[in-house]
Amino acid sequence: MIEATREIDASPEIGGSARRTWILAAIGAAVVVVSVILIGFFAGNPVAVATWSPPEGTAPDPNAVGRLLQQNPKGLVVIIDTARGRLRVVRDGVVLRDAACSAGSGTILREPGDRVWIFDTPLGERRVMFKQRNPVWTKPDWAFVEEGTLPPADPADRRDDVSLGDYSLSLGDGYLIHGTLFQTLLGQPVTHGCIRLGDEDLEYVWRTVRVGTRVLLY
Amino acid sequence: MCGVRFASVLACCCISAGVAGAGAEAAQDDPASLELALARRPALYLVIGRDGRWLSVRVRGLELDSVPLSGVRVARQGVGVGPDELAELSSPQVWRVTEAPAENWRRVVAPEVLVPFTDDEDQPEPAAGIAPSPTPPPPRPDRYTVTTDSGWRLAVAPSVEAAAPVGWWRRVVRGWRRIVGDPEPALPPTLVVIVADPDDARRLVHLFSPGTAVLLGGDEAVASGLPGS
Repeated sequence: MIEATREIDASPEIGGSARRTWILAAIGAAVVVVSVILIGFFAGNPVAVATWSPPEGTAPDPNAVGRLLQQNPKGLVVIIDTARGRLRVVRDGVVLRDAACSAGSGTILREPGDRVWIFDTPLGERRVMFKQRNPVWTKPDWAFVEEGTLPPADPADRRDDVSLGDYSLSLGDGYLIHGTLFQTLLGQPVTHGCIRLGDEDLEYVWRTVRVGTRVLLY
Repeated sequence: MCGVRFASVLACCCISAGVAGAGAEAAQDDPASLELALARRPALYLVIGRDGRWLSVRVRGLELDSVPLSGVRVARQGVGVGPDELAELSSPQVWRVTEAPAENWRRVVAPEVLVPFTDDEDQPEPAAGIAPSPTPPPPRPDRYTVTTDSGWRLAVAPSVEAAAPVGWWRRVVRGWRRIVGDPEPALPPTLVVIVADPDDARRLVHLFSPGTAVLLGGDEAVASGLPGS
């Protein structure tokens, strides 16, 4: 009876000692880990930073400045800000129309297999290649893959005569400025690379812009 | 006599060509000449002002967008590197982006299986005005780094700290490798473009694609396509 009592009395002492040991071990391990990290961090190549202050360069070559001016687009030009979703029609520096548009979403589409598409709008300078009224879209393979279906064998199944709206202007390589069924998304980057416009803006651009007009996309 | 005259004319031509060539070479050092070479192509290019206060987006010499900068810094990681070693970046010069920023801001669509297409005549045509609700894409980054053909990296960030050339954990690993005598090769130096507004960095990320030219130390644009300009 007495021995049993001793055993019962001794157990909390053993438990407390073990807990202390564990706590000390944990603290020790934490100190080691923190030391390793700190020593490594500070031994890791330190970063030196300086302000970039280039010396005064050569004076601009006036001939080069003149030729640079000659490169500027003259007359009518379309400027598209893909990030902000704005399209501007500009003539000799005067903005004739400022419209909401949608540009490429930047989405990456991966087909089960090898093919990958990136839905970016091309940047830089392009020209209007041709214009169409009541354009018909021949849906490419990605339009089906995106929907989770295999591209159909019958070309008739690719025909879509509603999605592009009433007009389109080709920028080459399959990229168009066209209409949209989803006008509430104008201004957002949601397209597959084309530029979408609202109905009235599209009609204005179609009537104002000629084939060959420069389109500047950024 | 005819031969002497021909030799004289030839000599004059050679001297003239030599002088013109030397002039062209000298002129290439100025920002306008460097920009002219970029403006002759239809591609976009970026210009960082020589005062480090603006970054301009241009094509054909026309400014399409301009972003105010808080400054431009030069950062190099390495033992014993001081400001003197950092000030060696000459200007003007043109870099080309060789590797774009990480593309984790892009949404990825990857159907696991494709089912056969069925021409369902009963399927309604998409109705005008009813917008789909696409999954919002991941937010665009306000800090990123690209590699260039100059051997330098170019970082765009709201602060120098945000554009640390090496991540925190990798610095620890590099430090320990250095302590045990197995240092990693030196990292390329980084030019940090500090944007005043993080939204500007988000707006520009897609412009830093491979091949994009960046003119360091450029002049103000000769013409502007900005609204209200």
